[in-house]
Amino acid sequence: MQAEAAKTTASRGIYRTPKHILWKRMVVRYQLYLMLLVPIVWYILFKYVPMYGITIAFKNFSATKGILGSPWVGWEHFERFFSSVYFGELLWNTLSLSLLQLLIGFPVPILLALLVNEIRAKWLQKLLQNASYIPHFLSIIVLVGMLHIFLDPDTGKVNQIMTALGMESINFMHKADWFQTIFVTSGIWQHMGWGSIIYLAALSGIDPTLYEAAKIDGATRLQRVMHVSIPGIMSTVIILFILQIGQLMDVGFEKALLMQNPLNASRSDILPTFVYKNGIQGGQFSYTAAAGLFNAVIDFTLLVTVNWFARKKTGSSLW
Amino acid sequence: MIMLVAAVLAVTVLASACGNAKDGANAGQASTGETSNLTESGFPIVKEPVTLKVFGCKDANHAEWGDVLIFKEYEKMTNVKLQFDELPTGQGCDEKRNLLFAANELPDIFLRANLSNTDIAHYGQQEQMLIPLEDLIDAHAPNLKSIFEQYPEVKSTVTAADGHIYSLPSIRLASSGRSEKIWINKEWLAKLNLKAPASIDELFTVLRAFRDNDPNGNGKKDEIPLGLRDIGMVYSTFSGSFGLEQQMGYQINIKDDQVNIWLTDDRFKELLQFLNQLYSEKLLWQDFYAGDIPNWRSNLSQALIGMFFIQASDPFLQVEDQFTGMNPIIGPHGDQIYSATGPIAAPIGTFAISRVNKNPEAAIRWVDYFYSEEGSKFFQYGVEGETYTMKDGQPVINDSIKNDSRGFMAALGEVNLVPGGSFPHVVTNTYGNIVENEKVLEVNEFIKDYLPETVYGPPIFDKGTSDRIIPIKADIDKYVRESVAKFIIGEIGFDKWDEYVATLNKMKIGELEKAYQDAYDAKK
Repeated sequence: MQAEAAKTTASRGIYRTPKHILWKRMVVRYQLYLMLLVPIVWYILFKYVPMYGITIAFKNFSATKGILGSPWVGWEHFERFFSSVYFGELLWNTLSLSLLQLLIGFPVPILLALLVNEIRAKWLQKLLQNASYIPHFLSIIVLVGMLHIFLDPDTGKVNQIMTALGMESINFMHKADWFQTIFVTSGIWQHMGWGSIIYLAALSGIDPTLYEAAKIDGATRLQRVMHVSIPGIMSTVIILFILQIGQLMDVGFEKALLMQNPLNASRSDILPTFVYKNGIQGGQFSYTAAAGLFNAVIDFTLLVTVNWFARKKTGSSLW
Repeated sequence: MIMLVAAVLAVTVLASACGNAKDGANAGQASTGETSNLTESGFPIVKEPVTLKVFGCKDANHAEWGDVLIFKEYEKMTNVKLQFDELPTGQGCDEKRNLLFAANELPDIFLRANLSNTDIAHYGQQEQMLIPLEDLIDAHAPNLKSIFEQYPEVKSTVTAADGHIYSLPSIRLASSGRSEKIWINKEWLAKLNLKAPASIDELFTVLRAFRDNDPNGNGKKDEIPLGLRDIGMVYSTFSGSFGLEQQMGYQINIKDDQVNIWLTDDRFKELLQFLNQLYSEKLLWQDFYAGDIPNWRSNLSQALIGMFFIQASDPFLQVEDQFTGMNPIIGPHGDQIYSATGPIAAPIGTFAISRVNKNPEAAIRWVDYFYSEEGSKFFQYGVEGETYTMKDGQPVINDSIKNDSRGFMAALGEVNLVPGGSFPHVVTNTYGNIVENEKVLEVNEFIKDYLPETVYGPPIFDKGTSDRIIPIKADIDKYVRESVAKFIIGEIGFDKWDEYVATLNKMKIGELEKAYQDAYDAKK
């Protein structure tokens, strides 16, 4: 105890207060801190100040009384939401769609990157890369329009091919059971090329001597991929995986809304579309703020859990 | 998403907080000052020009509201200048209106803003953001007052549970203006040597012939035997033949003062089975549930649909002579009523005055003119000599508008806001309805004797009731909409009907029925 106290006094004697030294450094490099100020103000204004609006989830929001003046109602809106007939369906749809998207959508860009990396012919490599990037730049509206055109039961190419092969034509967009499949696969098609860029960069960072050594040791191509390429990009994979988890519940809301119709609603209704339809369109602000807050809480819990898991297993994590 | 809602609210509320304090302070002193600005009666309404901010929803066929002829003319007549803020219907208008209320950034007037009964209950009764109009009507709206006296049901429809009137309706005194009519292609019938069907069996015979025998003779199987426009038509078009009516704006029959929501009735099951058979035989338009109105209209204008329901012939004016009307078919239990009709006053949320309006008297005078014969003619036909001429005491719209290459409705949208309806005005028998030409009246003859005696409008529930039943009704409506589509398309079989009924009971459809019953009893 004594030694420690002595140390503190000593350090004070030498550096004066650490607070002071920070201030001094800030004055000296004020340009950098001015630049930092911009994002901080942005965060405060657009991310923290609006948070006080969350309180309407616990109030009966009345526009005349304002957010602060509206009467508190406690957990009423949450109770109504949790006891609603659609709660289970909504939660399951949101969770399963996000998990599907993550589990199927996440590995595909890695596989694509490994594949592109193995192609010898440079022109083919470039062609494949470019061809797979392009869909990323399509807007969601165009993409959903394309889905409607290609999957049309009468005039759509997919169904025409299926009928030519003697199969029954399927009205994909109007079948609840097909919704998640179409949603996830079209998402993969659209984003796999873009997603593979970062893995390609990581792959090119692997020391070529490792491949040479493996080759001399008699490793086959597959073995080289398994034992050199994949371990080489593993840390990138894990960080990206954690980042993806952060957006887990943030499934493409616009896309789900655009693809929705009464026939597939039993699958395509997810928490964000529910909030949009009842809140912004239906004007039930307090109720949907509760639903949205619930969405955010799940999201946050997942992020913390996965981050903890990743740190424990691999040593790398977000924080 | 939560951030979106929260952020929008927070920012707008903060921004508007200071603005409102100012408005409130001014309102008191202004109202005394402006009253003297008001003229006794007639035009102009005010001596010194007054500007009112207007929010509304614009139909696809409307021109920019500021450029619409009757608004420009009316401004000169009244000295009331309108500052329009209009958004396209279905493309953000409802969202914007909700946010205006939530952020307390009110316009002076809501005109054609799609105010639902729930909105009126919430923002009128509960929040008092819309002001009660009955005293203003008494003092400044003679035309509306006389309609209320002549048709007490109009007044009762627009009166909320607390006894106040918060919004003004579109009023259609002529029965033809309130009903969808039944149209059938008489050329196809003649070609196939058939007559208009009267029973369900005959209906199937005719529709099958439409499907198989290439009645339009182009060698392609592009005919759509029966074209329902969207899923909502399931409840109205054939329901009368199964004894089901559309009372109180919902799936309700009223018998001996007993309100019955028939969504769980066996009659409704039979109706769905009937539609399911039509669908599975490809007699019913296969995309009817998608709500793709432009597609439906395009089929209509090419005369590809054999039988359909629509109020007036404006989307298929060029081919309207191919069609004629028919009586509602006789159902399996001998029912022959026609339910695709509405109350005299509907929709009711076409005009409302907000509490920030400093000239409510001028605003009510402004709208009252449209509830007179003259005003109705002015609203529908525009300016004599410029857009119409009088022939035998009847206004006739100019041919240049009627035969415009963009279509009648698009051209009319530059003159007035008739396209899409829902404007606070009256349509009387004297000058008729501009979209209802001879053909429409001819087709109306076939249904007019089969309409229910009275059609009750949707009630405006009191605060406690609406808080309780809005979530119930939202859940039920969503479930019914999805289930109905699935039953008709055959996605789920009718062996699941009991399950459907049980789910609805679990969703407290009984409580909803009770709320409607109470609202009905209160109005009686």
